[in-house]
Amino acid sequence: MSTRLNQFFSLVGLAVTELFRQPAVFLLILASTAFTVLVPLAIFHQLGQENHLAVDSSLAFEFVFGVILAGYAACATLHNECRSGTILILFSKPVSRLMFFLAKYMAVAILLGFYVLCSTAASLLAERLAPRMFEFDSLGLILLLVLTPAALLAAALLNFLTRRPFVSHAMIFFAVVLAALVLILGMLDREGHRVAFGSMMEWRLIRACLLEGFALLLLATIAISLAGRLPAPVTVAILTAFLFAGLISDHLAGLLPPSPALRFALQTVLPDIQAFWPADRLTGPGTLSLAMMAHAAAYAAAYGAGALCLGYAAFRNRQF
Amino acid sequence: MKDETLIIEARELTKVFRDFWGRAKVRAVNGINLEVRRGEIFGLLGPNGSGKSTTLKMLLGLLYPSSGQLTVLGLPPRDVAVKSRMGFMPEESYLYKYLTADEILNFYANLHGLTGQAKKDRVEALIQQVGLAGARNRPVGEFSKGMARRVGLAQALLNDPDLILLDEPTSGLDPIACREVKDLLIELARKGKTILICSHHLADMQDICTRVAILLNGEVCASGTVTELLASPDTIKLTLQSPSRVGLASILDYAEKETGSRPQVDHTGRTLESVFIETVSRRRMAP
Repeated sequence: MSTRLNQFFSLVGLAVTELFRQPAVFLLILASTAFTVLVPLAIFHQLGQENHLAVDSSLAFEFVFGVILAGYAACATLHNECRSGTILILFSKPVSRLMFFLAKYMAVAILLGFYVLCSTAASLLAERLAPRMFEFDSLGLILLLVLTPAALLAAALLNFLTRRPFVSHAMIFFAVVLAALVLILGMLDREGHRVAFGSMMEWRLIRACLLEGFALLLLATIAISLAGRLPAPVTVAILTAFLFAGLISDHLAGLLPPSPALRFALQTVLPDIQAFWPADRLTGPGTLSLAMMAHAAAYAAAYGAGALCLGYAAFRNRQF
Repeated sequence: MKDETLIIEARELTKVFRDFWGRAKVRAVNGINLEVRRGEIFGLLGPNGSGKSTTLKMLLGLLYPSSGQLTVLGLPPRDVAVKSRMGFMPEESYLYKYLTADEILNFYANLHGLTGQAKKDRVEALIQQVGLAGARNRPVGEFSKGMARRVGLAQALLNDPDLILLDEPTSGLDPIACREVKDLLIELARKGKTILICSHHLADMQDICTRVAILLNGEVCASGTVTELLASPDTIKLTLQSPSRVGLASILDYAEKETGSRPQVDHTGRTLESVFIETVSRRRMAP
């Protein structure tokens, strides 16, 4: 048993290491954060609604970039392994296909967990930095614009001096900087005065981002199931279709003839993404209850398990 | 005493590749029969597209036979238990380019269930054996083809396998490394390991293989020991230590009278490989 666990964690560790060293993964996380934080700065025209728009746009960016990341990462770790031939050596080792398949999903899930952490920090910063009545949060902006390049510079320096891989270290330093910014700005108001920690932050975003994280983990099960056969562009395209169809699944079910069987079939195939879309519930003083979070997590787990079973069934007899 | 234990047994092994509609596209392997015994170095020869790689992939359980029977170490090749007694080095160096040689070998050692000091010792010994000590912490994406092949060989030997499958093991290696690999394989066979090699390098195969099979269009055209296949029953080769001109003439006259045809005289020379290895070794040894 311990040997199998050791094998499983070795497979997960290798896949995570590879994913964290991929420049495209870092660029996606960087771009997602940049859009999340910077786009609200350009929205001036809705007086009094700026922070609400910041919340909406940051949650939308987390979804869109998360779907691309899930599709890309699944293919980078599974499809590329098949295409590049490394799987030939791997399957000459005592590794079962089920273990290999689950390890690949676990690696993508870990990457998405990291992405959700960065997105959560970015969303908190976006809401905090959004202009209020044409007033920018100058202190926050300066800290952001100084510390982010500093993180990349530190990774570059480490690479130059010790030859450690740049991309993975840049990603870690970047996440540390985002977390540090949240902590620092959580203690200060927009003029730089000390306030009670967190009084100026929209903490409801943590649950909202986590809820979207459940959706991304669900979509990742579809991605990894497709990645056993399909390349990244096709996987991302299908995943995007699942996202949008899932968002309007109620509407699509209404278009069907009034047959419970048909409705059940549609709702089984299409994930109910509305269950994970938190923005509407954050309007006003609304909150995301723990019961709702647990319900969404259970739904994601059940749907994901089904998708993984189908994906494995398609992968287990694949010839290389 | 020769060990007759069958390590690989194929009976009427056939592989047909089919298109999307299930129609036969290519019959890559067509009813071949193979028997490889413990301690043999068995060579699969053949031109491109003759079915060597397909056969190898079926032995690894990566492709499934369309018909026929195949057992490896007494089990079906898809059985995970077989893999723990097997080592495989593919033709291309299919390695994770973001990882260092050290990381790759440790990863594969984990998959073989090696842990702690045993893993450390095994990885260290193989790194030294394949001559990668100076480059162990560099990403393999930066390696030359020959260096990547050495990592490929090291990972194939990590679990001290009973059966070693090698696809073009000497391709991309310089003559010295090539000689070292051949010596290593002969040594492994002497220790009772069974080795199956696919290669186009006929001279290398002749050097090390005990038996070979020649494949063409998915069928075995010829098979047997190298000595059997190379023997020409009507001629013999006689090597003499530079006789005098008169002595040579009388030997030739006698041979002509005996066989009815004038013998052919050649100067035996060294191979380019032996000259290369001797020259480079001498230069390396020089202070």
